[in-house]
Amino acid sequence: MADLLDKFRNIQKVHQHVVGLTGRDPLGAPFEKMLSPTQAVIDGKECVLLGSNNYLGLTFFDEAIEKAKTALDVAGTGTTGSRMANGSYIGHKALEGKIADFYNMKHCLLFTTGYQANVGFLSAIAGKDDYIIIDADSHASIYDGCKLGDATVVRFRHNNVADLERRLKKLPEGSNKLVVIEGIYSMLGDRAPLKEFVRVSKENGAYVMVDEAHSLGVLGENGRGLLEEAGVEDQVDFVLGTFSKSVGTIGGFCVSNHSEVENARFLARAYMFTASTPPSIVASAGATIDHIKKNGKELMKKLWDNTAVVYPALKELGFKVGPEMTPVIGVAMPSLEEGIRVWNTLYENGVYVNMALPPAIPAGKCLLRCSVSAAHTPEQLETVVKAFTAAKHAAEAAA
Amino acid sequence: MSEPTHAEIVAKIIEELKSLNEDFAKVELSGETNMTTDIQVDSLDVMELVFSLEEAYDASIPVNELSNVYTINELAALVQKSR
Ligand SMILES: Cc1ncc(COP(=O)(O)O)c(C=O)c1O
Repeated sequence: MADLLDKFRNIQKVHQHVVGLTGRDPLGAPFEKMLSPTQAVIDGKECVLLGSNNYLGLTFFDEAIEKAKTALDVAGTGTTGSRMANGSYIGHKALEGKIADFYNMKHCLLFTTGYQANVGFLSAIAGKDDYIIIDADSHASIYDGCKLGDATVVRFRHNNVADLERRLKKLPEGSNKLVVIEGIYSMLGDRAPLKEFVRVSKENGAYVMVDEAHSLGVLGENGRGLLEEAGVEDQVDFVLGTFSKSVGTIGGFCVSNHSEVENARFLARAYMFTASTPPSIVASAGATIDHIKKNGKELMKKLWDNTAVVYPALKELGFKVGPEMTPVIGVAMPSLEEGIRVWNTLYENGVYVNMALPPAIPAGKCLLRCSVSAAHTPEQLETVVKAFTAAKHAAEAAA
Repeated sequence: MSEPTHAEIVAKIIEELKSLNEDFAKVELSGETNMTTDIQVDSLDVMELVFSLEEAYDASIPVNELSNVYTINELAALVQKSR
């Protein structure tokens, strides 16, 4: 019989193997000093950040910092409880109004993180005789939300409209169905064919939820995500989002035009049994959302201009990038060992990327998960391209 | 398509497993093989295997039901039930 702690010991062995390959730990690199949204000192070395999800580069947005400081002075460091128990601060309500406004929707529920928004909302909305139909490449928080609820969960092949349709048709006539899609997929950076997904879902009587974690402030003319880009804002029932990426802070939300969702506050355990967003976070998220509303177009143009430098360059160098050019660039590595070596060469050349290992990534051994920011300077992008070129040469020399 | 027999589905699962992973190609697999303890089929392999079976037999297997499946026989029975 295996010991309880064997699970940790097995992981420890893999981790030690990873560190042993180069003497460096890609999963635990210490960020000693943040120099800007896109530059940091990591383990004694100054690096360009190319894996931060900081799409609009707003983590140092001055107004957000000022408002957060004021909120700290006025309302303290935390709420010390959930909104069900300790009550809602005026700031919570105001921020919900602001986000609903941003999406032109009527209702918004704030969660403490995007992870909790998915876990809380999905487990609350779908019960015993209901069906949740999810894309196979869904984020862990979607899988976990499904696991926590009592609904039957059906999984379709990634971005495959025909497979979704086939499965919807097999479900019992008249049953409740919720189809869950993401805007930009977090690992490979590809978009969902949302218009088609929505059509098939509606034809088969399903509600549709879209997780726009990586597409808020990235897609759509006004930054409202794939929903806006695909022109289906009036047909999607629920939008999930997070402040942890383009908004540069932390928090999650669900917006909808269905008034019934307000009652999820009394059902979603991830809303009821965890502390609510601290006032300083509420203040900075609000300031940044206002900024995106006002200046989003300009920021998104920079983001996409920068993306148009990095994605083609990596492709040209022969790296296996995702199928579509978006600011999320997943670079697939043929093996764990090769992934670690490339990661290390990039680091030595002053570029930090995220390393993703199974089960976080679909169909692969190891993924160097890069993300472009509007705040990357031309010099930083040059550093990035040079580092990948060096990594390619190093790989060729080793082969 | 006529109703596939249990034995046919078991044979198909074995064939799919062997093509998914070269380690599985080297060992003897049968209906009684436990996919978690006898051979370590990871979650991504399970997903690929299930997709192939669902397409081959026009089935749709709920994710929740997979957690109770250990042997190849159990998976074959689930495919038959989910058509
Ligand atoms: C698709 C998707 N949904 C939800 C989340 C969770 O967001 P948060 O960081 O706010 O918990 C993430 C972030 O990793 C994500 O990629």
